[in-house]
Amino acid sequence: MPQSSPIAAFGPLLDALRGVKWPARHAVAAALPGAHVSRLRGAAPELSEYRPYRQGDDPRRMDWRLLARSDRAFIRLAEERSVLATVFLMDSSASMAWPRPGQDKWRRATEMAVGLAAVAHASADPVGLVTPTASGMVRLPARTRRGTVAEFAQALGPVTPAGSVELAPALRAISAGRVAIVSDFLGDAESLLRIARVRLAAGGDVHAIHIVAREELDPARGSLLATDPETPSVARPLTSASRDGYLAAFAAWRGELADAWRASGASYAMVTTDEPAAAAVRRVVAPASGPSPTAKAAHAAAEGNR
Amino acid sequence: MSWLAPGFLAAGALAALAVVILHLIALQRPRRYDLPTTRFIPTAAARAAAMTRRPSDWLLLVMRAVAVLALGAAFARPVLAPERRPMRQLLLVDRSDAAAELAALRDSSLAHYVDGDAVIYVDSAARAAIAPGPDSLRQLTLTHARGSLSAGLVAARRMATALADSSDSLRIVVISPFASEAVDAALPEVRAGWPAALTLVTVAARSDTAIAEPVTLGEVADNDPLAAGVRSIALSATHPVLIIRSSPTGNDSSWARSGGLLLAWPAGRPEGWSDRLPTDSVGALVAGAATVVAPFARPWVAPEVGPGSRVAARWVDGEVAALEQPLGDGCLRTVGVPLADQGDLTLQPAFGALLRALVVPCGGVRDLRPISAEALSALRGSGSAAVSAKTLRSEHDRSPLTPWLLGLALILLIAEWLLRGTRGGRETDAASRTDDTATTRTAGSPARSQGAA
Repeated sequence: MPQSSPIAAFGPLLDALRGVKWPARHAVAAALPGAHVSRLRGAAPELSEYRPYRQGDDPRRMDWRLLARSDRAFIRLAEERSVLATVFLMDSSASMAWPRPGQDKWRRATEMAVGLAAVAHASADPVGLVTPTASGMVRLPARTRRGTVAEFAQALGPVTPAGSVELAPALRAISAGRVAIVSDFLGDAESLLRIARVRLAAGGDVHAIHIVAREELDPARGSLLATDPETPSVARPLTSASRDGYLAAFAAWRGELADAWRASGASYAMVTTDEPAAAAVRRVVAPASGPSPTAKAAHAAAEGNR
Repeated sequence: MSWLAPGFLAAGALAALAVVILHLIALQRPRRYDLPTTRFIPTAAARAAAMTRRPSDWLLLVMRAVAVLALGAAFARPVLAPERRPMRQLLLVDRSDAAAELAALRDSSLAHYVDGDAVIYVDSAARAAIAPGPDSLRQLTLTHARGSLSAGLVAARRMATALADSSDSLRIVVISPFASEAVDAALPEVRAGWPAALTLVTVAARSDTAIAEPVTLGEVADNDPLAAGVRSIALSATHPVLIIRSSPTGNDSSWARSGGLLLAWPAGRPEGWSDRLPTDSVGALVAGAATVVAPFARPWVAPEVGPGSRVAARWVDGEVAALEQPLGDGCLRTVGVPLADQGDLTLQPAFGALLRALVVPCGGVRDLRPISAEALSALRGSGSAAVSAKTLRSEHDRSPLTPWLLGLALILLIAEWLLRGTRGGRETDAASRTDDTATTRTAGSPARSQGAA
């Protein structure tokens, strides 16, 4: 009997995401043809606009019918579509291995990553993985070949969240056009945001997928001594008196975090462990209210360059 | 069981209740709970007061509560009280020979005796009847010793304390002729030790109406100076007297034991006396109110005056010249005074007075006159004739269970200390180790927002 592969556990999720698209949030500066709107204008079948013929243009792109009607030479322009390599930066710190014993946050993170990877891969986008762990870096280069998603799931299988890892250095080293950061942002979030801003300013696409456990939003009641699994020296009493303060402080921080990422031009989505993974993936890939301000500015600059 | 200080028992119960309550609301270290977002919890002490419906450590709670209860019980001084009678009498029966009629003494004793009463026979000392009862009282006999009300009351006071646990009230009944000789200087203070009135039953006192008869002389030589002195005054006494001029024989001693006065005045060194080296002389001899002034040789030294002995005569410098020793119901009076064969010393009136002083009854002159009415009233006292046994029990401050209860409390407290140490007594205050470095790693500065909060 053949052994079940890690991807088999994600079967229902992948089935639910069949046909889901994950469009780029702005025009992609890539040469390979793909599913995303490219910043380049080329000879694609889809007509997008006309331009007066200039010396040197390919005569085959001239619209002869328009020439016959108007006696003026125009060439046809169409939008190019390009691929968008997507790399998933996974947070495997100890805070992701909670709550025990199911490690729901890490499980949800892997589901999000596998689901989004499958969606991107279905659109012929290369997908890759970067996971800093306490014992080293788990890395999968971005690929489009068949079986990439299975390799993706297989690479995440043995990873056990532990220790304290920094994501910022790994983000700096990623060169893909789109990066999805799957984390609880309880680690080096400031450094991470700083590097993300640089990527966004350079035209990259960043998605911040914030994994939050339901038990963090509604922790156990009673008099408890809460301790940080990554920093055991941090211990605070969680009682009925301090619970409201905790909920308010945590909500305020989440709000600030969301505002900071969105203000930088990234996409931000909070995913709780009790939300169905398929729905969360659809929410992440769904275009929000149009392109981000940064994307708009980049598009305008590209138009000006034509 | 009864408690000498029941207030401490109530205090111990209250303290044990307080221990239980403290176990439920004591500041406790909460259960550890891993929470990655701990940094957002407001900083506070790691200990929080919490009400719990169940104590966290039953064994510690039980040990502490039992230790406190044991301490309270120990200070409450439990006494295993036997079954008590409502009223118990202590009969003091004066069986000295001051009573005129033995039958009257027996009848009075039997008339006042109730089953369960204690009986103390009093003469010169007090002895509790081993098996008090009507039979013992019917077999009562008189002794030839003087009575001592002080000795009787002291013994009654002691016995009352011993009987306090088995009685609710106690009463002392004194059955006596109350002769003056039974009263001594210690009686008022001894009487003051009994906090109730005494019941006094008076029996007739003996009046010394015995006819004086001549004393008996043992075998003496014809020219014995002592015999001459005795005959010259026709020495007589109201009690049997035998004068011998040698060491007492067995017959003599047995005669004295039957109640006679054996006056041994040997010509040589008396038995038990030692030679004085060198022999000295002294100018006078005193016995009672009689004094004989003469150049006496003093060749012997009297033995130590033992318990029960009495000095019958002294030399003028205070040394013992004649010593009386009790012998059964009588006594042996030994005189260590050599008498010259020549001379008329023993025929002088002073010597005759000395002889009369030396043949007074054993124990000295008796005063059998009853005490005055005022003295009797003072002895009786006023107020209730019964004293509550509680008064006597509270003075009896020994509780046999107290040391055991204290030991139990001590063992439990030591065990509790050891058990607490093995069950994480080395608690640390987590709030004192609140992490500051963690706050620098979070975006949105949750620590700063917390600080602002």
